[in-house]
Amino acid sequence: MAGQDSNDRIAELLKQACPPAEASPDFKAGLRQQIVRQSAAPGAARPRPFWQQPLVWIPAAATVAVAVVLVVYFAAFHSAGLTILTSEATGIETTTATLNGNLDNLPTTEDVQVSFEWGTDTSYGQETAPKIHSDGGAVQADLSGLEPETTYHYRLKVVDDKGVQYGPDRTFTTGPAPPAVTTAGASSVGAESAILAGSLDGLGSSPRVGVSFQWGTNRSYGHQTRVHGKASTGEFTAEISGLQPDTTYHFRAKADGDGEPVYGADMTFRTGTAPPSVETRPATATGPGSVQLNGRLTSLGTAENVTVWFLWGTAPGGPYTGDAGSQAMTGEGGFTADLGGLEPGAAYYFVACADGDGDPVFGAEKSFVGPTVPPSVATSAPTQVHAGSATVHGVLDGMGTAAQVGVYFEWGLTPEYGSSTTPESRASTGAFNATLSGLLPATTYHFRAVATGHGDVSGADMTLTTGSAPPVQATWYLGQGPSENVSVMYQGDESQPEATLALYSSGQPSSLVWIADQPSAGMLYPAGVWSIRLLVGRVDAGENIYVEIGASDNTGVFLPHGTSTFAGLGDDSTDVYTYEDNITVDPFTVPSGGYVAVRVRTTSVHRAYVQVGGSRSFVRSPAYTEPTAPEVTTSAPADVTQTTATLKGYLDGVGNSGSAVTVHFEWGTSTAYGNRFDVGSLEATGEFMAAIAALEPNTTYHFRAVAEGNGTAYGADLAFTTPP
Amino acid sequence: MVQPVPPPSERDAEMLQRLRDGDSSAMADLYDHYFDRVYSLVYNQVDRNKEVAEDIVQETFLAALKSAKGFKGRSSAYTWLCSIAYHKVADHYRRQSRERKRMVSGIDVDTVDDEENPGRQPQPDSLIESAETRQVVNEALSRLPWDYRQVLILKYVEEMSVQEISQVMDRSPKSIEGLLTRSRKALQTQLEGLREG
Repeated sequence: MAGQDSNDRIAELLKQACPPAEASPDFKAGLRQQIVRQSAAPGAARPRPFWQQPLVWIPAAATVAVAVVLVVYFAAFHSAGLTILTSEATGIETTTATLNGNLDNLPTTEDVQVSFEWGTDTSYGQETAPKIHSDGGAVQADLSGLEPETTYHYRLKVVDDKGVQYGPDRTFTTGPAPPAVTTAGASSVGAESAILAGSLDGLGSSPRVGVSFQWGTNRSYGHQTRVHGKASTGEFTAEISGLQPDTTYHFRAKADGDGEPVYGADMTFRTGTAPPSVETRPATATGPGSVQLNGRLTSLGTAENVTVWFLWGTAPGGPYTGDAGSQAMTGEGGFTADLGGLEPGAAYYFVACADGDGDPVFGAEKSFVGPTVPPSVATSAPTQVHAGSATVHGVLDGMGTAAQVGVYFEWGLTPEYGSSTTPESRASTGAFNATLSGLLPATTYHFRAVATGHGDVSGADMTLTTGSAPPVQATWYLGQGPSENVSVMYQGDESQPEATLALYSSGQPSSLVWIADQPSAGMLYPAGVWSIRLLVGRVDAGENIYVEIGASDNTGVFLPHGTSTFAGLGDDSTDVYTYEDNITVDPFTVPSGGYVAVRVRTTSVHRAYVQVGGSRSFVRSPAYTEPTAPEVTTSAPADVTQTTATLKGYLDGVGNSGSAVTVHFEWGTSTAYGNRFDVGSLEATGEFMAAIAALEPNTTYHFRAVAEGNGTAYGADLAFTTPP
Repeated sequence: MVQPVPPPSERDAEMLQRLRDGDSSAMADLYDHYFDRVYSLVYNQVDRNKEVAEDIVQETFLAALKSAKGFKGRSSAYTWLCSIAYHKVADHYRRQSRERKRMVSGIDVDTVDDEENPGRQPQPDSLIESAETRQVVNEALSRLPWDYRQVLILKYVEEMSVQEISQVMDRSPKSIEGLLTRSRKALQTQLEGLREG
């Protein structure tokens, strides 16, 4: 079955591919005429053999001799009719063709006149020059001046003494008109490439013509550019590459239409020499005002020796006013040139150059800045560090290559700074400083000195910690009591006395300690200078007075951290003399329960007044208060039922929170409580209570009162049991 | 299984008798009756070359005219004409083969970059089933040896029996059967090759 299916499929395909074809009517009619004529020709239409025709052969026998002669005659000269074949035309070109025909059975005794009729239809209209033929065989005639792509009819014509006979009509079609193309020339001829140009002058019979170029080192070409289709006349070009430098190349344009391709004339060009190639590399600084220019010869091209050098100047893109480093190179590699005397910070531009055996070539332009030296700067220790201000210091150690250097300070709470002082322009090295203001008290600040010249530099990071702000007012007490107090006013003016402490010893050795009126436990007093003014009178000769700054602890013991000795003051007179001194006080911390304090000791002074002033960083603000928690008591409950009860408490003290005390109860079936009942705020001592519900009968409940103020106070745990 | 040779039709027999009797109108009748079939057969056998087909048909009928009296009538008139045409076609291919051997091969194949007509080639998968079936089969036929082509056309287009083909090609029926087998296989191979591109 499969085989049958295959056969059926083949039959179907072949019948589809080979449909019935029809000959041209002219050919069919012409050949028929030829067949009919030759069928009717003597000898062609022979009678039946006489032995098959009894009625004929008997009379014929009587004239056998004559018949023999006739038979011989017809066999020799008329055994077959003249056969005129119009054969296929050959040599068909665009405008020329060769017509072919054949004469068979041409009687040897007869000359015939042979020609071809031809034309664009079967009326012909044209005829080749007649020729006389006495022999049969092939007949040819050449036609010229034909129209391209045109079908011509033709037939062989024979004229003998019996008239005119024709072979069958045949046709041929001339070839298409070829395109016309011209080789125009070559342009952009380099060492390895060129652009070829041609012109398509006519399309011929083709709607589109493929154009290209053939090229090579001789007239055999050997290469062809890519074919491009063109639907109209005009110029066309193609770039060829991969050529050998300094070599002659042949080329010609090619146009390919429907027929044979046509070519333009052969032309030649000669490739140029290959130039060297060079790269400009970045310059490298070799010192203040000097650099090394760098370049690289990446190819010598076709030259054996290449001269390389640099051009440089101050204008981008040139003109370059200087050249440097000219040298000959015979191989690829880097080359350099040193430049000096450059202006620091000025922009310079340069290119690497190379010259082989043609025009010089240049690398890409690069630039550099005249080498500079940055300034140098150091950060110094701060001075005048107060609660809200400080003076920071720096030293400009070097100017670098800049004539003017800007200096300033960066400062802030972290090493990222964030603030800076106003820059100051300096023409020479030296110290500089700036006052920072608006600082926060008791705060650590970072700062560093900065210099900007040919480059920005900064000194090391340093820190300073501002002092605490002074209280607005303080009262100093002699010992623990207020009996010998003196009020002190702080005006912010350090020249004013801030405390005047009186000492009366009636000529006996004495030692008194004054303490500030504000607790300052835990307070850190930084290092500072306290100014002391001593007013004394009736001091025995040779006596000394000692003034000490420090702290008293919670037992009244004085702890000195700075001392000034006023020695040899006494002259036994009653006059009052004034002595002044600055006491350098080490940093110290006031112990718990203690006070900052001043102690004055003498041996025999009768009366002395000590005025204390100086740095405003020795007392903190605001005033420090020791915290005091409230006091609370849990009272017995009232109105206990199966499910309800009234809890009671008593606020015994409010402490020193400065605001109301909040009270509540905690309650539950154990001392872990678990429930809370907020009562509210109380501004004074007194009883408070809360009614609780949803209790379980016959159940024991615990509760306690709680007060929250400057600390939390708890009353004692109490319990009650609901009735069953 | 060799098919029996069908007897000449009554009309064939009458025409052939008239030919043998020398009736000058018999050849014209034969021409009128068989010209189209002979022309179509020859046309397909010579790759649909109109000029060549006309030459061969012209030679066929003129040869038939010459040899009409020697025709014994052992085949149909059409088979007889086909036999004459077959040998004329064979002569044509022999001449063509000799001419090809004398020709210098020089095919110049260019890569055409035609921006306006991209992708004109049909896809291989759709060749056979497309409207270009005829072109593909003709291309396959043209790649076959000429006697393969003849036997296929006689068998599947002219629908001749093996016996008739053996008379036309002047070979034994067994030889024709073998030739048909090889021809079919060769055609299949060519068609598959064209499908695969």
